[in-house]
Amino acid sequence: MLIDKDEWTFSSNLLESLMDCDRFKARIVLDEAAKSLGTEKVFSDVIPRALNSLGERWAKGEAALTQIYAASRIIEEAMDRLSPNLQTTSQLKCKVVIGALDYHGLGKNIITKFLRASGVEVIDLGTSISPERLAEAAIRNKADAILVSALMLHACLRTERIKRILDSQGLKIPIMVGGAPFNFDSTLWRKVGADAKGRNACETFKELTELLKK
Amino acid sequence: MNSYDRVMTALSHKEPDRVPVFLFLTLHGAKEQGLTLKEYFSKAENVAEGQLKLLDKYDHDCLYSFFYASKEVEAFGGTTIFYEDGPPNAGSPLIQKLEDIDRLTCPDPQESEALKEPLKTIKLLAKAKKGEVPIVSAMISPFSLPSMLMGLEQWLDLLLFGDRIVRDKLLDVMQSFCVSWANAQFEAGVDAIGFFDPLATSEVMTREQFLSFDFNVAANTIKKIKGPIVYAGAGGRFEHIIDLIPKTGAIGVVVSSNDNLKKIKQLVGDEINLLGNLNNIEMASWTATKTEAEVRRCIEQGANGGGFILADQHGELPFCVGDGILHKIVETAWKVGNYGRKD
Repeated sequence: MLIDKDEWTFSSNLLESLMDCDRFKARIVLDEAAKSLGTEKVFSDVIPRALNSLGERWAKGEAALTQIYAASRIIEEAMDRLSPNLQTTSQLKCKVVIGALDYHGLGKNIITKFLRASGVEVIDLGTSISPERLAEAAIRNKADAILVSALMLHACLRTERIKRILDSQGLKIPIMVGGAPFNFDSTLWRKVGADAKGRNACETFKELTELLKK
Repeated sequence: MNSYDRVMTALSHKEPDRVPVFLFLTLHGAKEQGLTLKEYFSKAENVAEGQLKLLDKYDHDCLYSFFYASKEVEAFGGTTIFYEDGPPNAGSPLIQKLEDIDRLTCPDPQESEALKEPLKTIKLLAKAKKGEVPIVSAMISPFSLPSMLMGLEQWLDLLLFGDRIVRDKLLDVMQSFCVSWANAQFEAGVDAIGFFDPLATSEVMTREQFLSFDFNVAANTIKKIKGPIVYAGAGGRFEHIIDLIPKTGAIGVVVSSNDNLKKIKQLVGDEINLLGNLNNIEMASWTATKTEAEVRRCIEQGANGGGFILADQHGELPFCVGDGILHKIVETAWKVGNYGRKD
């Protein structure tokens, strides 16, 4: 696919401002891109391309949490400012329930912002959510997937209880997990009965897309 | 050679009789006494007895007086949430809005109700084993402590986008507290303190951000602490700033299992002591063979010439890591950690 030169330049400049955690520069880039390409193009092409590159850098250890966090704040602000009523061209039409099994909500909040920016309907239950409440909310809301976040190992292990509840009711709602312990133990996500794990927002989006194809 | 001499020899970059082993067991002492974690941490006597029992049981080389990170939040007036099966966490953020920073005062560790029991634990351990087994503790760095007092998102907001004057005021209070808390622990009898700065790891900050925000805060704090400090990232990586850590004044650094121990030894092994880098998360499901292989790897990569203590990468072994694995770690270190001597 040929990429419009301006579009590429805007994405590249946006990425640079996200890496610098520079929200003023990002605002200028996004405003210029919206004027030049239109708001819809900004959200369907410019932002996703910059976020994708940022995610790739994170996966290679070339980006830090501060940069990912700054990006999530900048994009959230841009959505509120530029497109409060814009229906994003959804790359993935689905509904997910997300919650943190302990009191650490940063990862969950970043994922929520990124998924919403990609057009996914996210029901965010918050932090310190019991496995039972996550399962119940997913069933009641007819969610396509359950996203589980946890920073503490003992909390990660509670994911199994979600799986057990779903199995007991014969339901096949996919479970995705994320959080530091899953990165330290590459097999932990399988041990707790999850169907996939996401190490960052972009990987979560990609894995979720793959999961929902199955 | 007793544990204290073994560790001191290693820390002076010489080879002791065998590689020292630190099992950072904060929670297992409760299990030894049949107590819940909340009961266990309610009294200094419980923690001291737990540490002494664990020392007897595993025959490793330290006593760990650390309770849990949220103790420091309690000292500022915050709350702690206890779990049955994992480390306690800080409750709702104490600093809800930026104006709360103006009202924040630095608690005096000697007067603090929350820190009374940890200090008493150190004194009990010192009375029992000072000079025989090193007593080590831990504290949260002044740069990372705000994430527990106000929540990580709010701290990152203030750091990246907020008012510099407010940020500096908060860090001033954090520094004052960390210095007095560390010195109170040294006065009570600890031999070294782990300086937990997970925000400095490459997962969280770039090298440029560390230099811009954190380095001077850490160095100025460590300079005022009257005892040895070991830099720790709670499992996060330090390779991006490994050359800067000795310049903070720390005498040691805990190496992540995701970092390359061999490379770090080559880079800074002469300047700073290394601890690590067993994977404390994966460890819960290790077999005996895997445990032995991991201990061998660490010793092969880090122990040569001294300046190395075998430990986990975090500074806390999960509650679910069983006896068999812990015994195997120490047993293997004894077996293969004699620095190639034939005796």
